[in-house]
Amino acid sequence: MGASHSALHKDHLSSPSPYCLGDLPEDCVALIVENLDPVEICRLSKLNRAFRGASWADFVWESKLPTNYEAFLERILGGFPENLQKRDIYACLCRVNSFDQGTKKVWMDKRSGGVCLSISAKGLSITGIDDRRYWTHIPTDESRFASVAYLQQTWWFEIDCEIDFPFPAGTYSIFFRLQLGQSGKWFGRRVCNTEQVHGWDIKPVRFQLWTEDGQYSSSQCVLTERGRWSHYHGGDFVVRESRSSSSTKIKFSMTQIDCTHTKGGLSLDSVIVYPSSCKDRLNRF
Amino acid sequence: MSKIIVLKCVGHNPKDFELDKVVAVQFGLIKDLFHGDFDAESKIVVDVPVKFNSYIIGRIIEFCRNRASWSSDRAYWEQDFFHPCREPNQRKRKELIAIMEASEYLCMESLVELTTQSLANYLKGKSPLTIRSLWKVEGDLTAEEEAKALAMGVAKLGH
Repeated sequence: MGASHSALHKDHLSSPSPYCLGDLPEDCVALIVENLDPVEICRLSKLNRAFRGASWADFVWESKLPTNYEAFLERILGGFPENLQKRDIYACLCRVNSFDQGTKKVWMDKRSGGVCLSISAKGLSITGIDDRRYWTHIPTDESRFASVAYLQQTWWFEIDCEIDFPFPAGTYSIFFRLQLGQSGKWFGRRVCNTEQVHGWDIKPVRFQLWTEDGQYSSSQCVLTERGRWSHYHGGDFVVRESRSSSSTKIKFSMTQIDCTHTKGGLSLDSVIVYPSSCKDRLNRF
Repeated sequence: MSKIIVLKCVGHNPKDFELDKVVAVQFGLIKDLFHGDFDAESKIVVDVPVKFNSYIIGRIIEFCRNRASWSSDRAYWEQDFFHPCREPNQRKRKELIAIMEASEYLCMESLVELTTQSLANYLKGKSPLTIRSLWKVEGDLTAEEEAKALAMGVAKLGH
């Protein structure tokens, strides 16, 4: 004895040529493109109508957004934009957004979704920054922030920063972008004056990093690169899954406080917090 | 006799597949039939849409039956089951798409995941033009719509 159960027909049954990629309905295509990275998804949106529709499916982009994207948007935009599809939210996060009175910029890497945060020299605590004998702010187009801090000379070199930011879960690396020398333009060409550079080869600088949940790292490095911008690694930290819904507090510093010698001739642009998996791409600013 | 579900495939090479509970519960679409008001001893026949022929359903059932033993060496059986190769030929492409569509219809999440992942891997890194010729996809957007889709795409994702 049996009971016949009528089949639940779905829309795509009447397709004339079955098992063809081009005939797949939008919802099937969306399941496929969900496995691709955002740049690929956008590129394939011109393939046909189903791919175009699938490339806008909210569930596809929801999986690409950081889990705490709402807190993230709240922090950088001061509010949550309404009536936006998830793909638009993703695009918004991939743009460079300034916040904290323009002292910080944040963006998401469009391929990996990794969050990058750049803090300008004006967003850092620099010992002696107000004393023009030691430090000055110099406008330049070599910085994302249009200005760098230049050190003539000092005995006590200390840069600190404390930030509170909703980083999505992952591992991050901190880099100080700086240069031994002062850049300028001479008849439209870039020049770099390294005459005032001194003291960095005597003792190394020290980088330290602390997180609210007890992570700590410390390292030393001798600054050597003259005449060009370099990224000096200041430490790594991990944001754990459970914490990613709230803000992460970190503190980091760069010091050279051996007062037996002066040091100077250094230009400081910014500090950048970068997902550790993307750090090889750093020089492609 | 315990409850039996029969998948009835029509069309080219018609065939009936008798599924025991172990296999049938893997199909989201029909596992609920076990909790219905049917007799304990009963046979339920489910008509499979004509689009999914017996060969495809057979492959899916083969996947369900062997899943337990293959789970320890997932990479191996994935290769074996889906016959992927660098540039799959038309028949293998069609088979992969057919299995994906059928498992989506039957609500088999795990198999949908595997097949869509495989298909995505074949699309990765290829331009729309290459995909069109390899997979025989016809563009049905107007030139203007295409240009708009592209402008809204990668460029809009920022720097």
